[in-house]
Amino acid sequence: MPSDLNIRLRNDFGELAGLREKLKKFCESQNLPQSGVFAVMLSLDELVTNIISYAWDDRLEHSISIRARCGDGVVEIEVEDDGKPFNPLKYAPPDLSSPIEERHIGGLGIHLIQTYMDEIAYKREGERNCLLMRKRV
Amino acid sequence: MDMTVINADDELTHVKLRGRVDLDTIGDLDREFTRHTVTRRKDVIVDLSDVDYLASIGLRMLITAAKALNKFGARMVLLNPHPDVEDVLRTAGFDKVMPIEHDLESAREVLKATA
Repeated sequence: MPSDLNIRLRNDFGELAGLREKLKKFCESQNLPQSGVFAVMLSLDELVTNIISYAWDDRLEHSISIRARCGDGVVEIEVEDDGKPFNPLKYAPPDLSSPIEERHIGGLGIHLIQTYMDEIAYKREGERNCLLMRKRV
Repeated sequence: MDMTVINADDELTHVKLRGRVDLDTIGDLDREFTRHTVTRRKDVIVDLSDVDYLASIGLRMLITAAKALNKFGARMVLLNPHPDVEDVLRTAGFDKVMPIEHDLESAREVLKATA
């Protein structure tokens, strides 16, 4: 089976269902354990949702490139977009010990990605955000 | 995604969610969920046993409702989440502000104990 998955999405939430479907098939073809599949699906879902929500201030069409690879017990996912600079690693985790009245609503998606992935690397290349996520499976 | 009201009496609202709770399903669900839980201002049990996927947008729905209920002195308890879903809830620190229970009796007990 090919061990690479390449997907290009438009910045449209309607694209997410197709992304999930392709990613699920990819994970199945690589015989990933269920816990790994869940972590990868959730993290990519959260990241792409975040990009579509915040990366662009215009209402134009943009694209998001996703590449997934699997080998040596690691799933690696690269995501690229030409939105404004966004480094998810720079965000402090939400305070998860505060009482309910002080809980913030935002920041949970990024926190999930940081928790579920084993490794995350960000770089800004020219006009593009490049995020690399790795998960041991 | 759908939601069923199992019970709504003077003490408690008991609802059950089904399917995925993500961006695709959240719009209608959020409205229904808020209407049947927050609006009643009673303690809430949310049965998650048939929810197979919970994204951060679903976490937001739960914490927003729990915060609103808290203002009225009411609490929310989550019932019987799938292990993957429970892991998301714990990762988000929700277990500290809305107890996670695995049977209905315990969920009722927790609400009684904190009444």
